[in-house]
Amino acid sequence: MSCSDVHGALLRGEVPTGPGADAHLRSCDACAALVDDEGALAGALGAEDDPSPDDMAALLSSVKSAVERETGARAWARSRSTPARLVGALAAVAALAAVVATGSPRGDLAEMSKLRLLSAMVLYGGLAFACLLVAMRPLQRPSLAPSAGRGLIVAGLAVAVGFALAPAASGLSLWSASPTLVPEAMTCFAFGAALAVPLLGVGWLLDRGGYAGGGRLLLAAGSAGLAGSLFLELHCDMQMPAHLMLGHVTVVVALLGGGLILSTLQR
Amino acid sequence: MSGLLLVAAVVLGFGMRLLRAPDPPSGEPSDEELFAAYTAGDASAFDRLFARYGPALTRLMRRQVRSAEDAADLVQQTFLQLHRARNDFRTDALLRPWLYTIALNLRREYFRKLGRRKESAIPLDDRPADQPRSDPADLGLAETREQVRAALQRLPAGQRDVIQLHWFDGLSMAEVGAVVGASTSAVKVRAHRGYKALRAVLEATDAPESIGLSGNRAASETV
Repeated sequence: MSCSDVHGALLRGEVPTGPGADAHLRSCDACAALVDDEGALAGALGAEDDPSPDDMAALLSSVKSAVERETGARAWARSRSTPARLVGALAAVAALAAVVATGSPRGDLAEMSKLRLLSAMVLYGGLAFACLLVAMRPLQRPSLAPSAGRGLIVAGLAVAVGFALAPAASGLSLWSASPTLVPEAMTCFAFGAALAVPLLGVGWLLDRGGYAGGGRLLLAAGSAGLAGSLFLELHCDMQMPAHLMLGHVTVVVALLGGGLILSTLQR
Repeated sequence: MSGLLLVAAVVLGFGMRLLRAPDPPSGEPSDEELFAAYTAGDASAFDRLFARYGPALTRLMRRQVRSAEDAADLVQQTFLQLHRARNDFRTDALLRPWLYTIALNLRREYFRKLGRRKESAIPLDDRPADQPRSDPADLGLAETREQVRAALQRLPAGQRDVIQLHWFDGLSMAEVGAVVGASTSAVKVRAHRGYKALRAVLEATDAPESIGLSGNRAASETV
């Protein structure tokens, strides 16, 4: 006997009995709780209004209209399988990274610490991917706890700040009074943001909707911001922590801020 | 006395249809076969899936969404999301947990956007002080239904979702686990606690006397 058999019997006003029922009730506390009171609670629970056939016909009509409107490039893109959508987003990041690494690479790319380059790729890339995974999590999967998304955002910010401050460990001053500090930092910010923002467009193209705002938009923005920081690691050879804070970390912060504003506006 | 209780349950059971989405009769295509046919281009398969699950999902939404228009919109969104996710479907997966997971996620998002706290437990003490306690003798079937509905709203979301999916929607415990992202044993425990809590809430709101719950059995026998 299964839970469905027990429910069926209770809904017919019968209390399930017999060896099969006893065995099931011993193993299923939930059904045992329903049978405890001879099915009275089950009887009360069973009452529920039914939608009218007219309501259902109207609803089917509106559902079919909504489905018929699913045409065009965006409808095609977001109806791809989730692995395909992830590959599409990653391909966009990889393409931009390749453009930066070949078209506008940092001057010391050949000599720079391989550990730093590898760390940047693994940490920025890994966190950007993790944010993307949560942001693109399909609706047919149980939702994650909000703390998962918040943890990724905090980790992303921590990594960006960590990379900016890391050169201070080798003796570089945290602050610089150079008159070129702000212009150079703004140039880097514009470069990183200009590459990150189109990634949001890719995310919009692949997004299936359903979650209008909140964590998903923020995570998508965080993912794009982290990718922007990765592009800057491939592009800029400046080591001053002040420059990195003003020109690189701000890409992540600005994207997250934009995501926060957009998600608030969408509510 | 137990006979009376059984009669009460039977009386309340009369007029109620089986609330679960019925298993397809033999010869009828399964949900998964219908969805596979739809993804292969058979538009009529979508209509048949809607006929199977549209009413059940509407009831699911109406349990908590007060606006019938909003509830209908959420059901529409559920089927639209199913359409968008069609290429995610694997032939070895079950469609019903998919649909219900989408529906619950959309409903959760709806309440989050509204900024309400309807998904959290409502303490019993929230009942207005001047609201008279119902006379059990006057409680009819409709009132009992209202009591049950109110009692369900007072349960913690984790317990309420499991009870609704298991009892009202007829999902197996394994399917409920898949929908809420918990193990089968964990959802069984939640259901057990939820039913116990529901009975306690019903007892506190006088409803059990009208439906013959065991909590009042001893008192009734004394009388």
